[in-house]
Amino acid sequence: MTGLQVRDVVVRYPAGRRDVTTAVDGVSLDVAPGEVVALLGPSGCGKSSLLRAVAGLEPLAAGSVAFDGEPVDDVPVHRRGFGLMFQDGQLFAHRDVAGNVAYGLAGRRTAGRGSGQGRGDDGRPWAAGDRAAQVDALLDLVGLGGYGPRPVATLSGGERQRVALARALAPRPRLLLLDEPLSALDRSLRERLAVDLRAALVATRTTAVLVTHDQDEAFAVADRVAVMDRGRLLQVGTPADLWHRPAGRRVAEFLGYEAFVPVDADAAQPLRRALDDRGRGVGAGAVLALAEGAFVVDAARGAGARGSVRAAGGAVAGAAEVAGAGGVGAQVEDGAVKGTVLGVTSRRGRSEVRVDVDGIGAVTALAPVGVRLDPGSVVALSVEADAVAALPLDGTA
Amino acid sequence: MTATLAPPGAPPPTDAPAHGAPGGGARRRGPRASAGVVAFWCAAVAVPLLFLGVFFAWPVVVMVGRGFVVDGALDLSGFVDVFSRPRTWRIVGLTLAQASIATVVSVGLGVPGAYVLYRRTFRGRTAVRALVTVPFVLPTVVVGVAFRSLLVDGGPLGFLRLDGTFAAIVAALVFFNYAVVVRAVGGLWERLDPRAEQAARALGASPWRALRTVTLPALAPAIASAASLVFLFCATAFGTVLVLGGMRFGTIETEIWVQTTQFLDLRAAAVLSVVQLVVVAGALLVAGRARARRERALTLSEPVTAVRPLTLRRPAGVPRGDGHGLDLAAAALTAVVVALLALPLVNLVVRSLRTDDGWGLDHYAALATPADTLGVSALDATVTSLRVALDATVLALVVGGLVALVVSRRPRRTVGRHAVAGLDALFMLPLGVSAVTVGFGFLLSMHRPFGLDLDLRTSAVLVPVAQAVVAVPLVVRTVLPVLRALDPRLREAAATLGSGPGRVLATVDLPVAARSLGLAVGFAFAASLGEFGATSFLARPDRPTLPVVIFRLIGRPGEHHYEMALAASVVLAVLTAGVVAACERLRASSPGGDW
Amino acid sequence: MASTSRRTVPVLAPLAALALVALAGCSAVGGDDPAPAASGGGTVTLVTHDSFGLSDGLLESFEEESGLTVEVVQPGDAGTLVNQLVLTKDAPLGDLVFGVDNTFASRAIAEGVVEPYTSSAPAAEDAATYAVDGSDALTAVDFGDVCLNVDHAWFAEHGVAEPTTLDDLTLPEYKDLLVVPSAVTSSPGLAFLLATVGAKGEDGWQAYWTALAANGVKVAQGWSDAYYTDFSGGGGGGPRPVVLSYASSPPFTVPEGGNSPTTGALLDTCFRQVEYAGVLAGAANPDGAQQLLDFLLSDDVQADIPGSMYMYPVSTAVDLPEEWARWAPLADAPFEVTPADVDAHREEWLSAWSEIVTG
Repeated sequence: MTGLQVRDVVVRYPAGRRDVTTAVDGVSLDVAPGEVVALLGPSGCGKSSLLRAVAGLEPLAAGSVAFDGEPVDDVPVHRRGFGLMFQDGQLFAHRDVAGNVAYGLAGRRTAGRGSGQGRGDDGRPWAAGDRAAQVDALLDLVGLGGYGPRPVATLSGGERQRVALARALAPRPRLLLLDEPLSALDRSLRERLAVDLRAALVATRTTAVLVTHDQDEAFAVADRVAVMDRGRLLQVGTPADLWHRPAGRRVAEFLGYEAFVPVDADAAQPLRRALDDRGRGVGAGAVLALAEGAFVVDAARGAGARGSVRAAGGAVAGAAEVAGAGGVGAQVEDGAVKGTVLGVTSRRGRSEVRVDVDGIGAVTALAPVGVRLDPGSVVALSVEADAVAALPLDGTA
Repeated sequence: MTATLAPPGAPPPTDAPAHGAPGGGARRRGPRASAGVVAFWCAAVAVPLLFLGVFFAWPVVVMVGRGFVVDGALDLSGFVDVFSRPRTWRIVGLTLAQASIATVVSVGLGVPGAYVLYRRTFRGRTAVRALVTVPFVLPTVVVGVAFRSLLVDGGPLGFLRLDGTFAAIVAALVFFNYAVVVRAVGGLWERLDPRAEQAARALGASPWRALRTVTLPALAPAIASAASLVFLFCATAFGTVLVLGGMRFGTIETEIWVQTTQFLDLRAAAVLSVVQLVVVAGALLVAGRARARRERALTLSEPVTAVRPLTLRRPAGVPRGDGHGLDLAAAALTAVVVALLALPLVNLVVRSLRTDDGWGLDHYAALATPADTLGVSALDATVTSLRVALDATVLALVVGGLVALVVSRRPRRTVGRHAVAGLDALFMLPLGVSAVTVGFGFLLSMHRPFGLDLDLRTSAVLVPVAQAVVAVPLVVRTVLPVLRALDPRLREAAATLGSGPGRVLATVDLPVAARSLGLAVGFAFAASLGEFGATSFLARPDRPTLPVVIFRLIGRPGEHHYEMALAASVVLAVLTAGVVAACERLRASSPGGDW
Repeated sequence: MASTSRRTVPVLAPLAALALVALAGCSAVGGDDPAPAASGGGTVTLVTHDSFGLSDGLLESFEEESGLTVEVVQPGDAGTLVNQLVLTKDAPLGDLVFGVDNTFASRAIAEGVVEPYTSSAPAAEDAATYAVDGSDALTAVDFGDVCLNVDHAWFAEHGVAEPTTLDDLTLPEYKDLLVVPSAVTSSPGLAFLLATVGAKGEDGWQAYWTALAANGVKVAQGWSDAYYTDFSGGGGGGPRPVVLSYASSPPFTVPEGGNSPTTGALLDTCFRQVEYAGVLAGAANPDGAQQLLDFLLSDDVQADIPGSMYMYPVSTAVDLPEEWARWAPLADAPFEVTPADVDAHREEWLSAWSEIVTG
C-alpha cells in the first residue's frame, strides 16, 4: 500500500458538559502518491476535522490513519511528515518571509519515517544547497522571488498564501494538507491562485488533500473530489465523474445543481431529449438534476429579447419558436421550453437570468452578452446537456 | 522543473499592506480629519495628561523640589553626598537584584500558569484563577505576618531556614506578583489562534520548539508588559521587604521612607527619588523596546476554539510526544505554585478561626461591631472600601482606557510614534515612584492647588484619586496588548464601509477592548481594594478603608485585635476573589464576534 | 457592522451600569458626609496618628457640649506624623495635634509646629509632670512604658530562669531568645534603643548592642511582627520567649478562665513614652483646638485611654482598669533620654544601630 489510507475514522468533540458531537463519522479514503484529493462539503460537514485528524491535530475516536502502509496514529504531528496550510496562512508575524519559509527546513531531522528517503534527487529545486538557496528556490516557485527579507505584515492576502504554500512545501512533506487555502481571497485572485496551486502541486509531485467548500476550487485543483456531508463521505470521484453522475441529490445540490425534476415528468422531456442526443440516455424513474446554465436563453427568438446576438457556444437542442412578443402562455413548438424572467444578473459580460420554468421552478439560465430582458417577459430556452445530470434511483446521498 | 508561478499582480487597494514601511508614509497626506475627530483625540490625550499631571507629577515635583531647593537656590550637592555613601550603592544594587530576580521567577512560573489557567479547562478553574489573584491585593502587613509565621523557626516551613533571607523576600515578591503575569499573559494566550502553533508543528517542530519559536514570541508583548509591571512592583516594594528582610535588604523605596518619615532628610530622599526614577525609567525603556519589536497584529481567535480540557492521562487517540508531557509539566508546576500560594492564605484563615476555646467564627462576628478604638466596624470599613474602589475603578477605566486607546495607535510620523511611546511610559511611572514621595507630595501640593480655594489634602476625594493613579497603569497594561493586537485593517475596513471615526471606535475598538475591560475592571478594583501605600500617607479624614483598619487592628496591643485583623484580611481576600471571579464571568459571557 | 454593534451591547451594558452606579451615590465621594454642624461653633480638626481612638460617644458628647464639629485626620503612623506637620506648617492640616511622642517632641517644638498653650483642665497639673523642658507648647495626655516581656510558660517549661535586666540578655543562656522591633521602622523599637542609650550612656550602648547581636537578637520590622510572629507568648506560637512590648501587654495574656497572665514585663528594661497634644501654629480654629485639648485632659477621656489606646492616663484622678492595676504595673525608674538629646542624635544613633544589627 502506498499513499494515504484513512480507515473508518471517527472524530468527536465535547459539546457542553456531557454531550459530544460527532464531526467525522466513519470515513474511509485513499489518496495515491502524487494525487490531489479535494474534500468538498458545506461548512460544518466535518471535512476540516477529518483533515485535522489526518494531520494529527485531533485525536481519533475510532479508525486509523496510515501512510505507505504504516499507521501514523501513534506518531505526533511533527513526526508525521505531513505539511499543513491554513486558510489564512498563519504566517509567523515575528519572522520575515524567508524566516517563515525556512522554518520547516530546520529541525526536521526525523521527517516521517523514511519519507525523505530517495527524495533527495527528485529534481525539486530546493532539494539541495544551503538553506538560503532552498528558500530562494521555493520563493521563486510560488512567484515571490526576492520577497525574502520582507516583513510578513507588508504582504497582501494573495502573497501571504503564496508564502504559506512555499513554507508548507519546504520540508518536502510526503503529504500536504490544505485547509481552505484560497477561501480568504477574493474571487478573481482565488481562481488565478487555484491554477497556480495545482501547477505547484503537480510540479512538485506532492500528494495532497485539500479541504474546500468551493466546488470550482475543488474541480480546478484536485484529481479526485470527495464530497462530505454531516460527517460522512457521500461520493468520491474525478471531477467529471462527479459532475455527470452525482451519487444523489445531496451531492448534486452541493455541486451546484439547483433544480430537480423526475425524468417522467412532462417538463423533463426537453431535457431528456437533449441527453439522448448526446448519447446519455436516462432510464425511467430517474431524477434529472439541473445546474446553473442548464437552460440557455435563445436570444434569436426570445420574447422580450432585444438583442441580436446568438446564443454562445454549446450544443443547443430543442430550438423552438416562441409565438409573439410578450405572449404569456404562448405555445412552444416541438416541446421546447419557455420561462418567465424573474431577474437578471451579469457575470463576466454574460447575463444570468433567473427564470421560472413550468414544472421545474426557478432556475438560472445563461443569456448571451448584451441581451436585455425585462422581468415578467417570457423567453425561449434551449437545453445545455452538460449542465444536466441524471441521479440514480437509489440516490439518497 | 520549471513550475514558476505567475507573479502576483498588484494587490487590490483593500488588500494593501497593513502598515507602511517605517518612515515610508511620513510624507503622505491624508484627507483632513474633521474638527470633531481632532477634538476627540485632543481630549483623549489631554484628559489623562491633566489627571496624571495634577495628581502625580505635580506632587512629586513639589516634593523632590523641596530637597533640591535650599533657601530659594538650587542645590544639587545632595547627589555628591548621597552617592559618596557606600550604603547608597548597596541599596541600589539590592533593589535591582531583588526586582530582577523576582521578575524572572514570576515570569518563569507565571507563563506556565497562564497556559494552564487560560488555555486549558478543568473543574474549579475559576476558583483557582481567583485564588491566585488574592495575594496581589492583600495588605503587605498581613502577607508579612502570614509569610513569616510560616517561615519562622518552628513554623510549618521553618525547616527551610528562610526567615530573614533574601530568598524569602524574593518568594514574597513572587507571591504578590504571580497573578500579574498569569493574568496579563493568560488574557492574550487564551485568544491566541492555536493554528500558528499547529502550522509550526506540521512543519516538523516538536511541541517544545513550536512553543519556543512561535507561541512565546507571539506572547512576547504580554510577557514584556507583565514583566515591566512586576519589575516596577518589586522595585518599589516596601512593606514586604521590611517585614521579611528587616533592614538588611533595604531598597531604594525603604530608604526613601526612612529618610523622609524618620529623618526628614528631604535632600537625601530627593536624590534617592531621582535614582528610583532613573531605575524605573530604564526598566520601562527596556520593556518598551522589547514590546515594540514584538508587538504585531496577531491573529486572535475565540477562547472556545483554543481552550481544551486538561487531562492527567494522555487522551485516547493522542500520540506520545504530542505535547501532553509539556501539559503535564506545566500543570504540575502550576499545582505546586498554587499550593505554595495557598499556604500562607490557609495559614491566615486557620489563625483567624482559632479562638480561646478551640475554633469558631468569633473574630468574624466581632468585625460587625465597632471596635472600641476605631470608631468604625470592619464592616463599615468594608463598605467604605468598596465605594472608594468603585470610584477609583471608574476613574482608572476612563483615564486608562483613553491612554490605551491613544497608545494603541501607530502614527505615521516618527515624532508621533515617539510621543505615543512616551505617553505609554509616562503612565507607568506611578508604579515606580515611591508612595512616600507621592503621599508627602500630596500634603505639600494639594492645599489650594493652583490657587483654588479648597484643601484637597483632607478631602475624601483624594483617596480614590490616589488609588486610581496606581490603577491606571494596570488598566493600560491589560487593555493595550489586546487593542494593539487588533489588525489595523479592521479599522480601515470599517472606515471603507462608511463608518466615521467615531463609529469605527464604537464598532471596532470598543468591542475588542471590552473583552479585556472585564479583566481590567477586576484588576483595577482589586488593586484599589488592597491599596495601602499611597493611601496610608494621605491626610485622609477618618473614614478608613479595610486595609487601613486591618493595619490599625494589627498594630495595637489588645485582646483579639490581631485575630480580628486576620479575620478582616480573610474578608478582604474573599471580597477580592469574589470581584475577580465576577469580572471573569462578565468577560466569559461577553459574546464574541468573528473578527 | 450592525451585528457588531448589537454584540457590543451586552458587554457595555454592565460597564455602563457600573459607571452609573458609581456616579449615582454608591460612590465614596458623594456619600454620606457628616452633616455640617448646626451650631455656630465651627469645625475643629484633630490631626493624629493611626492608633488614635476613643470609645463611642465620647467625641460626640464633646461636640454636643461645645457646639463644635470635630473632624479627625490621620495621615499615618506616629513616627511619620511630626515630619508631616513640619512639612505642612505653612498650611497646617488641622487645629490640634495629638500623638507627638517624646522622641519627636523636640523637633515639633524646634520647628515651630505647635504654639504655646497652658491648659486649665483638672489633669493639667498631672500633665505638667511630663512637660518638655523649656516649652509649654506640648501638653502630655498619656504615657506608657516600653519594656521587654517574657513568656512565663516558656521559661517554666524549659527550666530556665527568666532574665530580669538588660545585661542578662547578653548571657549565653539567653542566646537566640530575644526579638525586638526595628528601631528604624517602629516607634517602640526606637524606644527600646533609647532605653539602652539611657542605661548604657551615649558611648556605651553600641557595645551593648554588639553583644546583643552576638547573642542572636532578632530584629523584626514592627511591634506586631515581633509580638505575634516571633514571640512564643503572643498567640502566634513563635520560637522566642523574650519580646519588646509594653508594660501594659501582660493583662491581655490572661487565658480564658485563668486568673494570671502567661507573660510579664521586665520593669528594669523600660523606656517611658509620653504622648503629647498641642495647638498647631496657624490653626484656623485655635479656640476650638484649645477646647479639644482640654477635653483630652478631662476625666472622661483620661479614664477611657487605657481601654482605647492602651496607654496610661496622665491624670492621677481616674481609676485604672482592675487588671491593669493588677498585672500592668509601671516601671519605678524607667530609663530616660531627654527629647533634645533624641532630636540631636536620632539619625546618628539609628545609622549606627542599623550597622550593628544588620552586620
